[in-house]
Amino acid sequence: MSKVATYFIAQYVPDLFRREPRNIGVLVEKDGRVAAQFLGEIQPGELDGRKLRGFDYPHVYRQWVEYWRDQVYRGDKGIETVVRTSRDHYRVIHGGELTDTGEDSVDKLAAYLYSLLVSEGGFAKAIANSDDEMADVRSPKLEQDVESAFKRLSILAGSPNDLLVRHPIRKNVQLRGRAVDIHTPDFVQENGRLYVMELVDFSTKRTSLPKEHAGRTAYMFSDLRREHAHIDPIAIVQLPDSGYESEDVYYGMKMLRAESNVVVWTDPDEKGRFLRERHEIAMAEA
Amino acid sequence: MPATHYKIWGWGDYLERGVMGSRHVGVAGVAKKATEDQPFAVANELICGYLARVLLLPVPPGFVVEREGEPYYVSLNFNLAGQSLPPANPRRLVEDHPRLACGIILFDCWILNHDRHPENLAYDTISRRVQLFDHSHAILPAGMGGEWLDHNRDRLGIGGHCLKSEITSLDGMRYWYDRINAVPEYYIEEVVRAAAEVGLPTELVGSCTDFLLERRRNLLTLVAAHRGEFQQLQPELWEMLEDARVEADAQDEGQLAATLANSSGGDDE
Repeated sequence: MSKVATYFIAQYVPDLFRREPRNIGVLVEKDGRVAAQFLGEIQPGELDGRKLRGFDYPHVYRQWVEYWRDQVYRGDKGIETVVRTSRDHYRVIHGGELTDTGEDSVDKLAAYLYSLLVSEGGFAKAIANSDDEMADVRSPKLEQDVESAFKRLSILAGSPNDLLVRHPIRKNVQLRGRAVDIHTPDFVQENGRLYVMELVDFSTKRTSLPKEHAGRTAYMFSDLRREHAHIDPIAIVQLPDSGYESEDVYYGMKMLRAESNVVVWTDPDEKGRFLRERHEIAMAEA
Repeated sequence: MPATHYKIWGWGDYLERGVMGSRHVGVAGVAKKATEDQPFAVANELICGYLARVLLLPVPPGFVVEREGEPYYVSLNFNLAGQSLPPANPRRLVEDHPRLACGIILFDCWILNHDRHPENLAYDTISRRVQLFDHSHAILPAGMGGEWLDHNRDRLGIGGHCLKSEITSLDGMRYWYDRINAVPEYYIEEVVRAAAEVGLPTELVGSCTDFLLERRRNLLTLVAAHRGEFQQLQPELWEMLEDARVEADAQDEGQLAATLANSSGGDDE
C-alpha cells in the first residue's frame, strides 16, 4: 500500500540582498510522526561547532536548531508553527511529498532526504560513503558513449560545426528547481521546450547505488517540472546483462518511468529513435 | 538595555560642520499604521512604547512619522544577535531573567496587553538579551472605547501571556511595581495626550489617563487576585506578595497623608 510522507526544507539566507537560500535541514512528516535532521548535528539537537563555519552567526543558527527541535517534538502542529514562524535569514518551506514510502520509518526518510538535499556533495552522500562508490555510479563509459554519439551528429555544443546548429545540446547547464535551488543535469537541449537528460547506469556491481541515483534523478525531474512549464525529462539508462531481474533495477526503473521518458541505451531501436529526435530538434527553426 | 544594537542600513559621510567625528547614519526601522481593524494601533504603540522606555524595559526606541498624511509608528529595528532570532523560548527567558519576567508581566498587566507571545518577544539565549515589541493590541484594541477599560478594571488583562505560566518566583513584582508607580503623573498624562494627535479620540484621553493612573496602584492586588493563572508558583510565594502589597499600600497611604499635610500646610500659608 502506498504511503505518503510530506517533507519540508529548512533554509538559510546568508545575504538578504542576494537572496540565495542554502538548504540546511529537512523535516519529514508521516502518519503524524515527525523527524528532522539539521546541518552540523551529531545527534538530534547536538551541534558540532566545527561544521558551522559557513554561518556568519553560528550562535543564531544554534538557537534556530534548538527552536526547530522543540517544535518537532510537538509533531505535525510543530511543523505548521515552524513554517509560520520563518524569518528573513532562516525559514522552513514546504518541499513536497514522497509517495510509495511503504514501511520506511520517518527517521529513515529524513536521513535520506538530508543526504539528498542538504549534505555537502548531496548526491554523493545520498548514495555512497566513499569516493570509490561514487566513481562506480558516475559511469564514465556511458557518459563517453552518449557524448560521442552527440559529437558524431555535431549537435553537442563545442563540437566542430556546432555554429550551424540552432539548438545544440549543452553540458553543465544549471537549472533552477522549486525546492532545490540549482540542479545540474548531464545534458540540456532547448528549443522553446526544455529537454533535460540524465544518465543512470544500472550495470554496476552494486545495483543499490544506481537505484539511489535513479531516485535522485526522479526527484530532480519532479522538482524541475514544478519550476518549468515546458519541460521534457529524459533518463538515459544502461541496464545490466541480467536486465530487470534485480529488485533494485526494477525499482529504480519504476521511479524513472514515473517522472521521465526512459531511453535504454543498450536497445538499438530506442537509442536510434532518441538520437534522431535530438538531431531534428537541434536543427529545427523554432 | 540602553546599549542595545540596532540595524544600520547606511553609513554616510561626515558632517561638514559641527562636532568633530560626527557623521550621517541610516538606522533601519519598522513602520506601522492604523488599520480598519486596529484604528488605535499607532496611539497604542506610542503610549506603550513611551511607558516601557521610561521604565527601562527592553523596548526599541520608537517615534511617529507621517507619510501621505497618515501617521506611522516606527520602532527601530533591533539587532540582538546579528540575524533574526527564532521566537523566544519563554521558559528559558524566565529561568535566566526571573525578575525581568515579573516586570514584563506587570507592565503588560498595566497596559492591558492581551497579546504577548513568543513572536513579539525576542530572546537571545546566548547573550541573554531580551527585546519586547508590538504593543498595538494593548490598551484599546480593535477600536474599543472606555467600556473596554471598565470591563478590564478588575481583570488581569493579559490573556494567555506566554510568561504567565512559566514564572516560578514573584521576586521582581514589588521591584517593578515600585518602578511603575514612580513614573511621574505628568509624564503619563502627556504621553496619552500626545496619542490624541495620532488617532486616539480626544474623548478617550481622560479615561485612558485615569485608567493608567489608577491601575498602576492596583497591580499587586490584581496579580494576587488572579493567582490561579500563574500555574508554576508555589502557594507560599503568594504570602510574600501579600506582604509586599500590604507594605506598598501602607506606603501609598503614608505618601497620601504626607501630600495632604503638605498641601493643607500650603493652604494655611
